Amino acid sequence: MSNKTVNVMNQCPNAAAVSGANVLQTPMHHVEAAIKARSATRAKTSVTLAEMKLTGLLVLRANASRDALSKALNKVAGIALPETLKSTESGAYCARWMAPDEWLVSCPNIEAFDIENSLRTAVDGHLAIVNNTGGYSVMRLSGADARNVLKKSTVYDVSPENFQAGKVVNTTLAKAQVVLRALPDDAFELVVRRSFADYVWLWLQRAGKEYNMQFKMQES
Amino acid sequence: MMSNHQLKLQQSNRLTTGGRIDRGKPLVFSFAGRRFMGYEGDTLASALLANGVDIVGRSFKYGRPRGIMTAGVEEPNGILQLGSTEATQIPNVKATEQSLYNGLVSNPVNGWPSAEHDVMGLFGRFGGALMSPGFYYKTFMWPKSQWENYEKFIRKAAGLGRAPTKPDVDRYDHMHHHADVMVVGAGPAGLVAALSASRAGARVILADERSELGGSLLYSTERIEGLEPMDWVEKVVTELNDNPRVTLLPRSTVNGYHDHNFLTIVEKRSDHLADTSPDGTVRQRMHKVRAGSVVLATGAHERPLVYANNDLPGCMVASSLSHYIHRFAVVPGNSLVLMTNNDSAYQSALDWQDAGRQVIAIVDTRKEPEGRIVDLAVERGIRVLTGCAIIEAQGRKRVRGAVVAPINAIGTFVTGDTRLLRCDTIATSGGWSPIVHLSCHTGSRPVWSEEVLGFVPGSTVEQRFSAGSVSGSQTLAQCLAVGLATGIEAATASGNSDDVQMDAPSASAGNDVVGDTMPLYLVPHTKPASRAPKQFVDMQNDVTAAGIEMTTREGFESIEHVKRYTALGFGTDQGKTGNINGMAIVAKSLNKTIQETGTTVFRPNYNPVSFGVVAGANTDDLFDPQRFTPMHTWHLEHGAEFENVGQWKRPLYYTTSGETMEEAIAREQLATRNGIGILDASTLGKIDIQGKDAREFLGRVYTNAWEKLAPGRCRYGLMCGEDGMVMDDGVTSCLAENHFLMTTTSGGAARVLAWLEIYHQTEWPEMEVYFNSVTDQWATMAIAGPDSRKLLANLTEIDVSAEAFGFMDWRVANVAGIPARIFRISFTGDLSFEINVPAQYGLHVWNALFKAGEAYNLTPYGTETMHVLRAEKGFIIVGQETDGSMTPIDLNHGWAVSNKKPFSFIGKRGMNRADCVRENRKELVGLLTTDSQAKLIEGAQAVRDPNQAIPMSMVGHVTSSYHSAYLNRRIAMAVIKGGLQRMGEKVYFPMADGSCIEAEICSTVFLDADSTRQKA
Repeated sequence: MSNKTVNVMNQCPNAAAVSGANVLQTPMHHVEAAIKARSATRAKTSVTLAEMKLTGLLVLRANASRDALSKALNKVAGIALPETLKSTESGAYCARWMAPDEWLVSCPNIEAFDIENSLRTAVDGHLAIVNNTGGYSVMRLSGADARNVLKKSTVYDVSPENFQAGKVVNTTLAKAQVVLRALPDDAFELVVRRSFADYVWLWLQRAGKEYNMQFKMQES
Repeated sequence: MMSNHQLKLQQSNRLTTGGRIDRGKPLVFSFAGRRFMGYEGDTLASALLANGVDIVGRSFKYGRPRGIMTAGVEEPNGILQLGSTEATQIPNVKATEQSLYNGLVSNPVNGWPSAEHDVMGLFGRFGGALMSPGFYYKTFMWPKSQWENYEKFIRKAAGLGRAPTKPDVDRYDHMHHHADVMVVGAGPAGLVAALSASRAGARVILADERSELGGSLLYSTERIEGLEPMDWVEKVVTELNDNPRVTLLPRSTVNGYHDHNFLTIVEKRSDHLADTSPDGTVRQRMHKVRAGSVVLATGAHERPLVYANNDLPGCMVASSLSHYIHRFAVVPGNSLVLMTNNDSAYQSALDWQDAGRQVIAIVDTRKEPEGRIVDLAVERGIRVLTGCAIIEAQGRKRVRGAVVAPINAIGTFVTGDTRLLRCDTIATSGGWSPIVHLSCHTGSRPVWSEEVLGFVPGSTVEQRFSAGSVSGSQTLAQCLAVGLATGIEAATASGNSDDVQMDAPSASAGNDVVGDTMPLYLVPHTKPASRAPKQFVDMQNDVTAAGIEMTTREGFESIEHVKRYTALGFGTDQGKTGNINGMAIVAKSLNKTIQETGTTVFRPNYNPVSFGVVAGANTDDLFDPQRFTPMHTWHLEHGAEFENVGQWKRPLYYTTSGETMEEAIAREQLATRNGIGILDASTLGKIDIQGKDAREFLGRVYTNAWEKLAPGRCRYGLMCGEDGMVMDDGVTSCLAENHFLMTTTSGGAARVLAWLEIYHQTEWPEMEVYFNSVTDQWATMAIAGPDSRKLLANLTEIDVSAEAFGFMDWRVANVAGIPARIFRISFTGDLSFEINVPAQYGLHVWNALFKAGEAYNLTPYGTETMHVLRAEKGFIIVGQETDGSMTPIDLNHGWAVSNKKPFSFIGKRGMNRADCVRENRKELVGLLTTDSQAKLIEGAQAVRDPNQAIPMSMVGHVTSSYHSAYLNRRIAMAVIKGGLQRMGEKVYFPMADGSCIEAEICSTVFLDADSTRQKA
């Protein structure tokens, strides 16, 4: 580490070192058993809340170097840095605009370290990359009443005419911060800080009660 | 108990046909313990009137019997207590607003002992003169010593309703909306405005307080476009409903109109269904609307005229008769005398006659009414007395007659003999008051209109429009035409200008020739107001014309003062029927115009709201976010008691069966000092700092030097505000030359990150550095105690010996197979390692530590033990030892201030101000009580001379005080004036119980002064 200017760490354990052990817990792991118990009752629902399996999350910060960074990102993930309030997506890769000099990139967890290294190698100027994979819970809200659940939770205008698929906003969900992205087909992605995940989940659960909200742990 | 058939027959005032009720759906309800029947579609008021219930309550101050007077939100009398169980009690529900449901239980709010027989009634009838305005101020506040006795009596006899004593079983929530055009009120003007705005392409929200949209059309007979009024409404509502860009909100009262066209609306979603909301649903919802344009189509409230004994049950507002007849098929009486100063009220008499009941007379206060409808009434054989007024109602529990007399042209005195007309119902109309309340909420002053004889909305900075009778429209045709134009205007103003192919709907010209309204408010009596029977202005607060006149005689001239002295308009109805009449009486008493007198200011809420709907879903577990660490489930399973640290839930201590908190904390301390303990420190704020200027930036925001901190090393840092006072502290590690990890206090993380960003963005934007929060990214577990090295060695591949891994070093390593950063730092003063692993592996590593830690009796400890252990070593906690007035020097942390840095640092100038460098400032010291077990209380004040007379000279206070299990004695820290120069001196702590604790000033380091333990 001594000859490098930053300390880039591979946060994925060596598979052999932890073989067989159930070592990884998403922020909402504690509700998994309850969800399984519930799923037996197949009531009609118009909204589903899911926590997505662990996704690699990299925070990118750059200003003068943004073009070089965008090019490098395109090379490793097939996506460019998105414009203001937009996202770019290709397969398992997605970049979300967060601020004029900040983006949140998701990728397969196992690739986060390599992508960070590739980006750092490709860009000379001032930038920062932080692997925040474990710092967030990625949730997905979908169904005909997903928008109503959001209307109970955020002041942001989530109507189809204002919040089209691909758009990203940083806003509040109840009293927590959320990165909210509109997906096609009445679905939304919520990226919330890990420590707030339980609060957000409970909030959405209450907001979705009248629509008979269902819950899932989702692979992708 | 009566059968349903008998209950049905009880509805003596119910018409056999007509009305918007469903006779196939009978509903049984109770009032004051008696059972009644009504129908679906009824309000509680219409059902009570159908059953001939005259008295629904007793008046607030005089205990006079009161009956239902109106059919809407303006109702002053029909205020009831609802609820079949203790938990579902709702005070002060307006019977006119409450939809009837099966099983509804209602009671009067203020009849004591009952509404029919009230002890206060005697007081009201015979002792009324005693209860003048300001009565409570004048009488009961003096002598002061007696207030408590009076209060019991007043509280019991007065007041409205009671709150439930059990928690609310219902749920509430909020919903946010964004609209181009928000239309308030779904009467004719509002409906057309919503229609034209939506056709212009606007996103529209239309809200109305009633259960059905239609407003005045609910009880109108005027045809629109050749259709019955409600058929026309249905047609419009169907088109609006089919438009996905239109949201209709019935049962929704727009209660607040705030700056920037933000409106708060309370929707009653299940109050019409049952006592409690059905499972999974919310009882009430607050809609929060942000609108481009707002169209107020709030309509107008009919004003009653003020005459003697006008509060007798059976005295009603004229239009409410039409309302009850047409909407509910209820005629609330048999023989009617109607008094009016305008044309509109004639329709009510015609409707009464059409319902098969007797109209004794229409008493028109105008000498020569000219409207078309006057002729119609005469044609239909109704006796019309012009130039006359009802000066007094007669009866005890219900109207028995109306005393009628001729009056002069301007309505100031009686000009001839009185005569008594026998009747059981008196209806009056004094004209229409536009409902300007919402228009005032944003600070706009309403303007008096001589044409309307009411206040209309004044100018505003908001993009606000008004349509219909609120803006002064007098006829249905006018409402429809203005509504159409206003809808288009509002849509255009919010950026929607699709071509609207639409003509104003035509209204049948029933009474298009409208005579002028006579400005009359208080009807004269043969006696002056002060001698006449009571002439009520504000029914709910028992404010009389005589009372208002007296108030002006006592010198109250501002309408705001009159309001507060008399309580005019202070009730749950906010004086909707009485305000204008009251202002007119004030104006007349002061010889001013109503415009000059002005109006009081209306504020949100328009109508009372429940606390539940204000709170919404922010209750119980959702009151505030609760933040959890990755190991929270483990803590729950292992007996943790939690404390709140900011929004975090942190284990305070862990307790096994039967162990007290003190015992648990002592056990945790000893286990850690003698072996090994573990703390979940994940809540510590962590900020990742990258960039070539990161090191220099640290030097500017911390008081100490960072120039020479090498990669692989850690350093404690103190952060000050510009004032030089300590605001945060923590260890920052050099991860690489341009890469640092800063830790902050758990509660200070967000504040510190914002602080760094503010300085970067506003003061030093040229510096190449980025800050990112990684607080949630890393699970942090601190193992502390002599055995911690042995445990760590079991789980990692790196050499953790003292030689290879020194104090204040950090290393990358695997712990239990998981990539980790291990920091050899200590907040206990013992050998200690802080292991950071990605949060998703936190629980795994924590469990692995416990598995391997069995051999060492690894003991989890909470924040309380952490506090004791750090105090033993003299480590400060920002916010406990500091209070925003402590410099690093005050804290004896001068070693952490570097004055040699090339660039200055934040707080340098502040901490060198004259007052910060003077002698005798409060300084942080340790305290050892002479009695080793004497418990100093945090915050206890120190004195030098325990025998000094009170007031004693205080020289400081205790900041931390604990029982140290390891030292087997109490230890404490305190800030004492000049304390650092007073080592070994005694200070004293006089306690509230008269005792005095003696303590000796000492170093803050109680244990391991040479740090051999933590450097082991």
